[in-house]
Amino acid sequence: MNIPPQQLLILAGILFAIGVGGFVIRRNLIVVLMSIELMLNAANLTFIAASRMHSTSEVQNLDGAVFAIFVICVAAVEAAVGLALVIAFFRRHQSISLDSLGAGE
Amino acid sequence: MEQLVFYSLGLGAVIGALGVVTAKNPILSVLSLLWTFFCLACVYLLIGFEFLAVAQILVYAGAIMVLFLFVIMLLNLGTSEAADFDTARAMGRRLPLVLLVGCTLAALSILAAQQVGGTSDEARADLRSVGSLTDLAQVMFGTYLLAFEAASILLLAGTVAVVMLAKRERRKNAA
Amino acid sequence: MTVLLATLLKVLVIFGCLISAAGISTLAERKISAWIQLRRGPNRVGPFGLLQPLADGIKFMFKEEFVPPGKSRFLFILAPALAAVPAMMSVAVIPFTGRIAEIDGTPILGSVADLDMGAIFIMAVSGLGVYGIILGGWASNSKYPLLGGLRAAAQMISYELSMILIILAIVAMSGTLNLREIADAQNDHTLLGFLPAWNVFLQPLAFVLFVICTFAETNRHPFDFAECESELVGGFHTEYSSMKFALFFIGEYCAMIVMACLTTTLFLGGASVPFWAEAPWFIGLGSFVFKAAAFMFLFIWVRWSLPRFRYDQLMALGWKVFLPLAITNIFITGLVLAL
Repeated sequence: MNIPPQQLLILAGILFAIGVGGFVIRRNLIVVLMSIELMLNAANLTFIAASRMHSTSEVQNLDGAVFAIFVICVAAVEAAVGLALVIAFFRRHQSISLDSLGAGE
Repeated sequence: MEQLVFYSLGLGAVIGALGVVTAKNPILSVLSLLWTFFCLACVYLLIGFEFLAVAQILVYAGAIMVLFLFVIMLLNLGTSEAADFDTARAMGRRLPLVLLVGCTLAALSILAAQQVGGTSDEARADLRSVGSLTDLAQVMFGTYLLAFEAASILLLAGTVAVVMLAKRERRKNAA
Repeated sequence: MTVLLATLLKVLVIFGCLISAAGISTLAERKISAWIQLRRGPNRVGPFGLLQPLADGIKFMFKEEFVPPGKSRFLFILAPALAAVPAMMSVAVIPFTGRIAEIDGTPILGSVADLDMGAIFIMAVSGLGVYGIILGGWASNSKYPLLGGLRAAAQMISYELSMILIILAIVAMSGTLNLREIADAQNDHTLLGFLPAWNVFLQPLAFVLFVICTFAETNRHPFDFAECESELVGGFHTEYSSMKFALFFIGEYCAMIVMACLTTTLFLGGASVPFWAEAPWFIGLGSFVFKAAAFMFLFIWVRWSLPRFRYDQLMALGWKVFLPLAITNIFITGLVLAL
């Protein structure tokens, strides 16, 4: 129970960095979407660390936890819309490579 | 003991995340991401946010990742030719940029972690569980009621958007 | 220490009972189907064929293993485990009976884990069962299993939505997510002086919707499109043999048992006995098992009585009928609760 919030923040930072890395180097649209999910999760972890940081044994701060739930909600919408776009993209280009984005029709 | 568990979970999450961005096969990416989510859910449990851990598994593992798998299988992308455009060379070309961004971000987060204030470690020391659902509901439907309603509108908008995206495509096919 | 031992014992007993119940269900399935079709069913192994599940198990172990080439061997082997484990995990929060005993002031309850958010936990964990089916279908490297896996994915996501919405109405009525408290809340008063206040009487619409959703969620007939012998050979497990197939099989029956237990808890007052509020725990356990067994019978009865739907009918039913009805149900429940 007594994990210092600093360590949570560091873990979140590393995960976010990996997410950014995936977002930049991959050209498979689905993997790019997954990298975004990874970044959103890192953001979640940051919110929770903040919630943790501002709690005392008497007063528990739950603002961060509530925001983490909102982030999960946003992530769900993002995934649904993103995947619908991926399917539309695939129908148009017969590929999900970002490289075919410039090719057009 | 808790530190040890946290370190192994963190390590697991990072390995999973690396798997997501490096796997050739998108299905392996999905599984790695799933593993990362599980590790993070366990971290939430460890620090007492039980509801978040369950919500994480319910929404991410139970719905979002199934959707990803579904789309991958629907488009039949689980084959090796799908990864042809993601060759090691193509990825390698952008690696320096990634390393730069990644190192900057990690350094920033570590710096930020050192700077942050909040309550002292001693005051937190005997903090047991935070996850009381009633307290969470109080905050969510009290202080953040407006944000909650906004989130529900966002969900509705997302639903409409997805339906429209799928539907427009069908009309074009028919024409 | 004693509490820990008692919990360990509970884990062992419940797990053992679940696995044996899955075995007994396979026998019951064959016996009841034979009965419905005016046949005799298995009657060679042991008295009345009672040892048939044992014989089946031994047979499974000695069958040839086959791993199709081409796709990931690792995923092919992982998939059956992923299908079976979630069902076995979710049984942990089911309150099989009331308080059994008290050791050093700590009550020993009738569930392995008395979670505050048991209802959400069970939905979260049972939703993971779909991974085994999808991955099994994909790793088989063959078109029929792939189609079966795809169907299972779409079907389970669609029906899980309605299912969670239905559970929400029950949760709103009981004011708690703890399954034990949900069960208890149905037993503290009576309706019209004689009916126990079970949710099946208070929420008849939700009950019917929920039972039908469980059929879709466990991929059972008439919604068994993941297998669908007449269209997809064997569906997602066409390429599976030996113990890997047996694991899928056990997982399916465990999921059915969990759903039967969940329906009992949510709608039939759990371990309560009507008109006998102070029943000892073993009577309560017997009552719970009886109610759950009745649902298992319903599962089997429906399978051998109804024809299979068409896949588009299933999806239309899920999205255009069940989802609106479930949302309406929540609205009505909220309205009644507010008044």
